[in-house]
Amino acid sequence: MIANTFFEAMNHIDDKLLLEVDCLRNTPKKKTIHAVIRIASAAACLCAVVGGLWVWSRYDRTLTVGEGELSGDAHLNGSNDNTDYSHEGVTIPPYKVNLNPDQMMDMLAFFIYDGRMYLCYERIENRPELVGEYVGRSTGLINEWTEKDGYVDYAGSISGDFYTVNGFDPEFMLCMPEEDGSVLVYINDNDLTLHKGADLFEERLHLSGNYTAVEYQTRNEWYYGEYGTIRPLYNEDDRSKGETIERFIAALNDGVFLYNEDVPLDEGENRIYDREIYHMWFTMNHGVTVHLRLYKGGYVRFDGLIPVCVKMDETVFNEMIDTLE
Amino acid sequence: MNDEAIVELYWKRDESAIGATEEKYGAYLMKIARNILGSHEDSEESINDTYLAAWNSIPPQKPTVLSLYLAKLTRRIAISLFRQKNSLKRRSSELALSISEMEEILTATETPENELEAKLLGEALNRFLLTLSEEERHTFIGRYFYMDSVKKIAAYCGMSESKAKVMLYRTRQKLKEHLLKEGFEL
Repeated sequence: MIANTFFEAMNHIDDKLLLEVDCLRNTPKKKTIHAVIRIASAAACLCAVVGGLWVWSRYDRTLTVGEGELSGDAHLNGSNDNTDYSHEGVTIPPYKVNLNPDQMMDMLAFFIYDGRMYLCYERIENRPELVGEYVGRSTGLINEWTEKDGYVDYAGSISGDFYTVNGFDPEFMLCMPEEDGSVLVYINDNDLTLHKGADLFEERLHLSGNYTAVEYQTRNEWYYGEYGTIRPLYNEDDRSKGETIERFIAALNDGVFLYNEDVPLDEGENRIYDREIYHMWFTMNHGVTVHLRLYKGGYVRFDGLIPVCVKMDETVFNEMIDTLE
Repeated sequence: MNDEAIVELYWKRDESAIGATEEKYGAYLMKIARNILGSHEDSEESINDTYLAAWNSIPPQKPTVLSLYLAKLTRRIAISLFRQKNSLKRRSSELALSISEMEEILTATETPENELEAKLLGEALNRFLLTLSEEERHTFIGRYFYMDSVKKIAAYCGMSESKAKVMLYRTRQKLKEHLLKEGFEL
């Protein structure tokens, strides 16, 4: 058999299997969904096995909450309903690699610049205007076998030139253009201090007044990759939910940040993901998508920042849930 | 315009079907063609041939997933054009690289090929793909159906390029064993 026959035979592959990959490679949101499943799984595993092969400091850290300090273990074990939401904010400390050859974890697409680790957040098609000034080039030489001292500036698990993103703070977001014209957006999710929701959603993501469409999906639909079930909530043809969305964003901005581990869990829940009920996507006029996860009780997490979430006004949160339902 | 409406235009022999196809899937098909051919001009030629092939085949065909139907047409046409115009040794494209990779496990010697052999192999490939993990399957299909670069596959699968390469290498070895077990002569 010659290799060319093989390539012809690939045309006979089941459409369902091809569609799986088609979704991954062609629709930014869907690709993000898959990437996020990996990120979520990784985060969950990391919380459970502090000290895995790919462990950044946020998982075995000393957490800084307001003026005081709490150990990571204390947080993992000590969640309760009495969380003080009036604290001074949450700090996600700089990354610190902790290698343990006995553990295996999947790698994420990332690179290191100026001491910060930028994780791949999403792929955006047809938005070359997003790409700003040249910053540097990631070597792409980090892999599962890289020693700790290999985690230096410009190292990463993916190679390529990276740039600022026009309109965004480079300390928060950078990008890597692809040969096909798409742009990979990377978000720094460490060495940040966040107080109120507005610190992220306005100061860094510029959400208010800049979205052109909002879509949503239930947790189960998202988890099982039912891409056809993504539903519109707001777009140029239907702005009827605009006021509800604006109230939601305002309450989100007023909400306070806390670590995921501090979200009080109900009986039978082991982690924040057990409380997840909806996913929302805000398509911004600059092309970036703001992907939110909604958790029971008024907790909302931006998918680009794994370790933290916002506790928002529950009445407004429930109004949005009622709208989605 | 949704796929059903576009297919309906083909069935009505309405020439605007081609414009609607181009608008919705032009960029998507161009990526596939460019992965195979490398050259922009050749890719445009293969895309135009794709529209013609779609026009000639719908009806009688009524594809349920239009994107994949067009992707397969583009893929077939682009590979054929690649063979016509180029020596594999002289041309740099993801197809040339992919063929070179597959020649590690399949012979490079030209033997008579026919559609039946490709179909039988396709069925074996379907069985093989179902034995793989989701990650392995995605990297394999990304590489050998869509002809994406390893870098791109690594990005959309959320893994390092080196991991994707190792995974593809192992999957090719597994495929070789699978095909031998199924009685294919490699």
